[in-house]
Amino acid sequence: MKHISVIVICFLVGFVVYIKFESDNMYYDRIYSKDRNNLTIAERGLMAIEREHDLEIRKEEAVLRDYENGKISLEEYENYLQRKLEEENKENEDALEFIGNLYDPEKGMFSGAYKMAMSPKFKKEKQIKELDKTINNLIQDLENENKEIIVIKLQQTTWVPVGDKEIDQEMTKFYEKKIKVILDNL
Amino acid sequence: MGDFEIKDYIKHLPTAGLIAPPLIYLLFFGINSSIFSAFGMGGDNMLLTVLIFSLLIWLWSAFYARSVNKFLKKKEKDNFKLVFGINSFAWSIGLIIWFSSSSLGISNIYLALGFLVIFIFIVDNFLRVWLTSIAFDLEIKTSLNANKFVLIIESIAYLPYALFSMTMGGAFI
Repeated sequence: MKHISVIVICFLVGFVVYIKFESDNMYYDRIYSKDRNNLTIAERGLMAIEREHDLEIRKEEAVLRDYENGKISLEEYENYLQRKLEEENKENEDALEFIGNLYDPEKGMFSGAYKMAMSPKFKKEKQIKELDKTINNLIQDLENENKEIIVIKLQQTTWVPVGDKEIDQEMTKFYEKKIKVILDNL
Repeated sequence: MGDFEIKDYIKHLPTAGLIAPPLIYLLFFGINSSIFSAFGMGGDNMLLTVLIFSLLIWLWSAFYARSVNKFLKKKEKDNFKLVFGINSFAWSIGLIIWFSSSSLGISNIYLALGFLVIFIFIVDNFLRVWLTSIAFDLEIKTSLNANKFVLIIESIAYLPYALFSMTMGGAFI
């Protein structure tokens, strides 16, 4: 008996949800067209919002009918409207706050990637690659360019601080030493 | 009214584990039917999707249950149906958390997802270990041992994703 009742509950829930899907699809067929294959994602999203809005209006109409038929009092009806207004305001405020913070570099969805890109360790790796490339290019240019110009360019090649005292001290010393060795060999 | 005894309800876990996944998916699709219908899903496709997802959870739970039951067999306490129920029920609780969560008020979606995955991982596995311990009169330590394979698989499945999300969300910077 227990198993039969469990199976019946499952079938009932499945049936109700199935009917809801069919009713939503019929609504879309009626309002839009039967062939909705060419609609974009944004258009489909708007359709869903419109359907939700339509369901909301029907719910409001049902509550209004209840009030007109005397099933609920004026106070209850006013309370319902007040509660609905408060919920809508809160939803709008939350949505605005969420969208406002979405691209915030400190709290937004890309804040992790932004913080990573701005971290001294990341900047250090990036600058090492750039400086090494610059130095290598200058050495290769020795064949074509004036030596004095290369020397001046090499002297100007220094570590730009990345905002971490330890990294900056270490890397400044490292590149000073590296460039000094190259200049001595020139 | 008698005192609430969790043990009295344990015997219903095989049934709960069997019906919970399709019911949760049906409720999820039912609540969001206007969105899924707008994207072209009909009633038949919805039922098929519910069936496929439920089958996946049942199969996965049976796979976990097989491993735990092997351990319990050595202690002569094996009961495949009950272990299956525990695992499917734990999965279902995870699904409820997943479906009912918003972004937890965090606009950093990666961070919110990372926290959510870790939370589901903890709740799911706590339930598995705790219910196994109660259902089979085992100490928590023994229950952990029985579920060790499950915990390893779960860690492999959840934690890399959680770590990735947390890293993208800037949790370690």
